[in-house]
Amino acid sequence: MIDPALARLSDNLFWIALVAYSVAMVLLFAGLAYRARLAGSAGTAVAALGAGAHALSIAARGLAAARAPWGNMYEYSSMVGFLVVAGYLFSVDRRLGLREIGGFAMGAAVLALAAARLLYAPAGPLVPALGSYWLKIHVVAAIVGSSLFALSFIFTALYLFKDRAGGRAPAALTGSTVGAAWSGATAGVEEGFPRDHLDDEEARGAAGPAGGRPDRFPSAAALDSLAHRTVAFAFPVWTFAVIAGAIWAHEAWGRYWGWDPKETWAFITWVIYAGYLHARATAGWRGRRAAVVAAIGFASLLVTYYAVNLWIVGLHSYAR
Amino acid sequence: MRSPLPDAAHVSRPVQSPLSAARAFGRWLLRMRTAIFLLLALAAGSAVGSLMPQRPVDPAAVDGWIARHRALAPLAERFGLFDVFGAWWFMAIYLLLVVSLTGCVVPRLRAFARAVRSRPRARASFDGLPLRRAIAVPLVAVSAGDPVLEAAARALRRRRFRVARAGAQVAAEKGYLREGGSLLFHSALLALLLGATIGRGFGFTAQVAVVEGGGFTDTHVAYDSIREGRFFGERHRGFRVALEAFDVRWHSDGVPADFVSRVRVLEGDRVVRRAAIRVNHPLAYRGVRVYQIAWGWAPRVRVTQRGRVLADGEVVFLDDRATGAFRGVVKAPSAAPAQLGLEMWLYNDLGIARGRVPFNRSPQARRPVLLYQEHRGDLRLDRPQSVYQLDPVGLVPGGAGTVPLGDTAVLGDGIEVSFPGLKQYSVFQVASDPGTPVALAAAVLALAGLLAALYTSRRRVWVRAEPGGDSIRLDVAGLAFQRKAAFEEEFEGLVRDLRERLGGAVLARPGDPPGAPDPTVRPAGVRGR
Ligand code: HEM
Repeated sequence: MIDPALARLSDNLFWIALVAYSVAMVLLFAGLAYRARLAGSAGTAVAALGAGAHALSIAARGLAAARAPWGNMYEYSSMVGFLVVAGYLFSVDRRLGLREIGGFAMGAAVLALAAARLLYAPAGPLVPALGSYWLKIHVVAAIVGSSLFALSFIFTALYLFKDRAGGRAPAALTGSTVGAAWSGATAGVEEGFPRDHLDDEEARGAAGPAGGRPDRFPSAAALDSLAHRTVAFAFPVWTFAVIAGAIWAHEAWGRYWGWDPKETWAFITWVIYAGYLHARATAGWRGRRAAVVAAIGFASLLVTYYAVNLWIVGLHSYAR
Repeated sequence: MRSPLPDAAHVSRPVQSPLSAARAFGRWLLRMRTAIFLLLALAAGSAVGSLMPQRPVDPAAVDGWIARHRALAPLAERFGLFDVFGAWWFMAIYLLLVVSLTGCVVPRLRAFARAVRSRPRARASFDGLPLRRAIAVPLVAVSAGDPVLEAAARALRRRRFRVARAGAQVAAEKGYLREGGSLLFHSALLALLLGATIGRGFGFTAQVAVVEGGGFTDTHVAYDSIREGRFFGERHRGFRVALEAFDVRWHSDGVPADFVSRVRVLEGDRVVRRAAIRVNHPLAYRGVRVYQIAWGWAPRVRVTQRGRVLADGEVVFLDDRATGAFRGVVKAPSAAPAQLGLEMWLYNDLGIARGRVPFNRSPQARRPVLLYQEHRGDLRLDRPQSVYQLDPVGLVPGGAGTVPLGDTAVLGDGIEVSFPGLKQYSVFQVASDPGTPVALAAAVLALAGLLAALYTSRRRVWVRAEPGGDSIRLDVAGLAFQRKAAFEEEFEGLVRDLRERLGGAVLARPGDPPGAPDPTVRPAGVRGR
């Protein structure tokens, strides 16, 4: 039933990915701090190699247990780490060209993988309650949503840091003045027209002060906008995950909603992010206040996954 | 609240009395704040519900909490913290949210209906619009202003704008799906709450444990526990479900692979259905669904006293977390000289660890043994009590021992306890929820609405023609309410399109330095997003 050789291979590849992400993180931070292009490129390459090993690890795990490789907390955390890296490489690095964020993305992935390792469970079959195709759909959506929320949290955290650091930020982090100009004009109304979210502000900050070296770290405004767009992408995915979970609960437990702790926290997370979208779309909250709501949303996501499974007993903790 | 589709009053006359504007803004802000506050309050309330033990879920945990927090317990009880999701304040938040949601959806729906029916409006002035372009169309190319505007209207229609002509102006608008989607989303949330309410009010949820060979009938009294909606009205269907066999398959490492209850459904004496109920595969019959949710062992226990049968039958043993065994109780009130209560633990595959601690070596019935503990005295059966518990008040513990399957143990006073057979029981959750289809449809619509609201944008374009000396000056202006950068590209594309069709030249914008390059011609190498 379980193929031990494949399971071992999966574990070894996992370690390779973890080491690669750590090395990539160091290189990318070095690239940011010393504005060393080469270090940045090397970091990206190492991250890509790590992601390759990671993908193989996940595949081997699925083959070893002859099932979809997302049935327990170890596998979930591992997938989230992988998607954060993949999302960073394909979207942030390639499409937006924001390599400066790389070190932080790798740091998040290292944390996710470390958490996965702490929650390690050997490859094994699923308990019957998990043997449903709704599980596959629900969990995939939850993993994708969580990964997107994690990416958006990186932007939010950097925004909050940068916004606070303001002019006194270390050289590598000082951005353009767009952020400042922006926060002045964020009354929610621009020339009498309602501002709205999803306005594709330039993702990258403009070049630094005339004559200075061009500063490549994205501006606070750009980070804020990126965070928002990522949440707007993640939110429907999360909504779908919650709906699919309810359908699965209906199939498995005879009710689609029962305020089980996991359901409750998924709902809380959903509500907080809905509050965030509302705040930006209609109340005209931008910047710090909205970012704080988003950060609370992410904390709630962490509770939804880790705290609920580890400390709060419910139908979702298949302890026995 | 801000009117969802700002009309001319909003857009073309920004000169409003500051006081009334402030009042309108304040009202809007208040409502929005209220909605967000209520949402977050709901989240906070449910957080409390997930952190405190909840009586409907685990009454024993609630008793434990009360024992540990004597001082706080009355307060927690008073605020319904042991049943948050049924507490008055949770209901109050929920109802306020429903009212608030209704209160903001209905006017928006009306405004939206009006906006959809109305035609895009012309603007008196293009001043202040974020996107402006002017094209000079040589008069030789056209005879008068009208065909130029016609061409502009055609170009806009091709881009699926809704277009209206008003004098020397074309007004166009696109992206009603955004507000429509948002409204669909919010209305669907209301429908979802409605579906949940219907389910609670008109349905029921029950649980019943059935030993192999037994069954249950869908009636109020047949269930071990039941919660019926206020408007359910006892409309049970009265069919019978008979459990022929219950099977568990195990993986080699003791993880269960599958639980299957093989059942027959009977209407009177007639078998109408045979089915295998397994986890994730409930039986649906006449609007009632029967789920496999748990299972356990039901040993047959026979108690006799000098040939007289005191108790005989399969006894449902519950999973005992403390010992890892299954625990049950047999009551023999007719034992003499005192009543007898037996507290029993079943080990389906008994092993003895060091320190003589019994444990189960596997989940299968390889070596079933009953451990018993005698209690003599008064069972106090005149009081309501659980079949799974002995009332310890009138009882004195006596001897203890073991009975392997197929064996008999001899107690004092000529009492014998035998263990002639071992069966399994299956626990079914039986539920009827007429609100489910409503809730499901609402959830799907909510998602569709959300996608439309998040990924579409509303934008307007105006085109005005002014005859000059030897050319017609075509003023084009645009405004996007969302996704402004994407609209900028769309707008430039439109202007380029018009210029090419009409053979005109784009005039430099007011303020551009003389001789500035044609802004609609992008330099090569600039990557658009
Ligand atoms: C109770 C009163 C509510 C009011 C007055 C309200 C109002 C609004 C308005 C006006 C928008 C449109 C923003 C736009 O189109 O730019 C919006 C969007 C949104 N609302 Fe609400 N809402 C309410 C309740 C809720 C609830 C209960 C939820 C769910 C948790 C929710 C979730 C959302 C989401 C996710 C959006 C984003 C979609 C979008 O941007 O259009 N709202 N809300």
